[in-house]
Amino acid sequence: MSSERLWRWAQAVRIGYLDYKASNPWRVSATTTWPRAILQCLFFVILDTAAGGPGRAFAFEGAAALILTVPTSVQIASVPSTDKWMGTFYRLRLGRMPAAGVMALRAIPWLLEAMIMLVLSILAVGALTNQLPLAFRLLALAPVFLLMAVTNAAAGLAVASFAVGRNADVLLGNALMYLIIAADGVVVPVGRLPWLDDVGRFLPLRNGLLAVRAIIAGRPWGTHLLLELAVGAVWAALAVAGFSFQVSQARRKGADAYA
Amino acid sequence: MNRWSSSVSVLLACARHQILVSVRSWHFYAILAIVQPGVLLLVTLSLPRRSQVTTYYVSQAALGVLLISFWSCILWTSANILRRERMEGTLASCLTGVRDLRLVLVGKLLGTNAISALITMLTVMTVLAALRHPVRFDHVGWLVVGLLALFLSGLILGVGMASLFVLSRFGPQLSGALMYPVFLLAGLLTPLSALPSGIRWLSWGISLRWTKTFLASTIQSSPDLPALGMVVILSAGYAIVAAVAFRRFTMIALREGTIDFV
Repeated sequence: MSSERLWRWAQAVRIGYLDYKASNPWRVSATTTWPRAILQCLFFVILDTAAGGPGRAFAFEGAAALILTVPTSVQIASVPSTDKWMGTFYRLRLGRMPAAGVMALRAIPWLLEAMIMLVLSILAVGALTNQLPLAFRLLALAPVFLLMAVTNAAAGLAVASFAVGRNADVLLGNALMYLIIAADGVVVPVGRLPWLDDVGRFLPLRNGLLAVRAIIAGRPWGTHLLLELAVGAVWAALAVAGFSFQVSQARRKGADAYA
Repeated sequence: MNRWSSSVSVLLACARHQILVSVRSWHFYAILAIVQPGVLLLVTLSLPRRSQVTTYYVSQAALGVLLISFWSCILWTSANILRRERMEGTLASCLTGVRDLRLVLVGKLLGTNAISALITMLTVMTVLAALRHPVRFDHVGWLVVGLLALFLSGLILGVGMASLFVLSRFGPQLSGALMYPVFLLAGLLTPLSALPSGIRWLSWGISLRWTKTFLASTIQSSPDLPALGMVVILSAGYAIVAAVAFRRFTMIALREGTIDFV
């Protein structure tokens, strides 16, 4: 790989970090975003347990995975939308790197934020609900959670590629997150809502979470992990196709935010 | 036209204007008043075994989801009304207009709260009908009184939050950060007993906790009037804080000019 290409990639990551930091300074993240993640995790653990769900451990595993969805389904849309509001999309369109590649590299800070929130939530909620042994086992599965964050981010970018030009990034990003809550077996076990289970098969997190639960329970987990990878690959392909389509439309018609 | 009817017409005009703004930014309402309550209700009703889903449980869950959606709408729409004026450069004309900005703000909150309450209630009823779960309230009159108190406290909370949020450029982060503490401390869908004992006392200062207690008491037992009294007392306290916050924000804008006042 040429050093020039590496330099371009590094610059894309750097600009992504600067964009992220401009709207999310560390002091703001530490005082608002991260506490929100911890309390969201605690809320779903208590809800699941109090309403007679399958148990505290099930609730904790699902609520922890759910933390990944806010940055990677909703907030990740800020990566393309910043260019839209700043009117700089045409520069990406005319650049050497493919727009989807630039977006993926600029999204890396959101993956890191998702992982920071995950670790903090697991530790805090594990301590608050007397599940520290499970919390440490979940932390040891950080690579699986990172894979889930990547597949969710691919879905988030795919949705954003379509939504940003239509001012629908808030609507569709949140819709993706709530669909994951309802259909992924995160809070409610798979099988309770059969008509939503079929939708869940095509969503990120579902198979990754099944893999996490299988590892914790000592059951075979390889197939679940491979399925999570496959679902993520499909979403990544959709993201590439989405950005490529928008760019080609902008070239031909100059009609939307990508122009 | 006398002073009162003139003020009412300003309120109604502002409410109508805000409803038109809401129609244009319908995405927020679709998430906060349709998707969020719909999914939360679905999840809450799907967690227990079917035999455990009694009419009392369904009624409690419906109230909890309604209140969660109410608080979310306050945080994501009402609290951002003045921020929106600031971003669109219309804050100055609002502040220096002929009519008092408080009247204009309350009118706008009236519009946004009314439309979000209407859509949320329709969503909750639709989900319950689709899942064929009936609800039952033995004291419908008191239920209506409780919902009216909730609506009025929403106006007060909206004035206070909007006056605070306009001072920050991190509104979305603030909105996000204030959601779950209130969901948990007010016991909207989760029991207060599940929280660590050291922080439960904080719930005494949250009017939504008492609103939930009062509304839940209208399901089958006798209405919990002391809880309704707490809602009134706390809302009065919030009104004082909101008035101070509003005064401080207008001072900063008009005298010191340290927020973009153009």
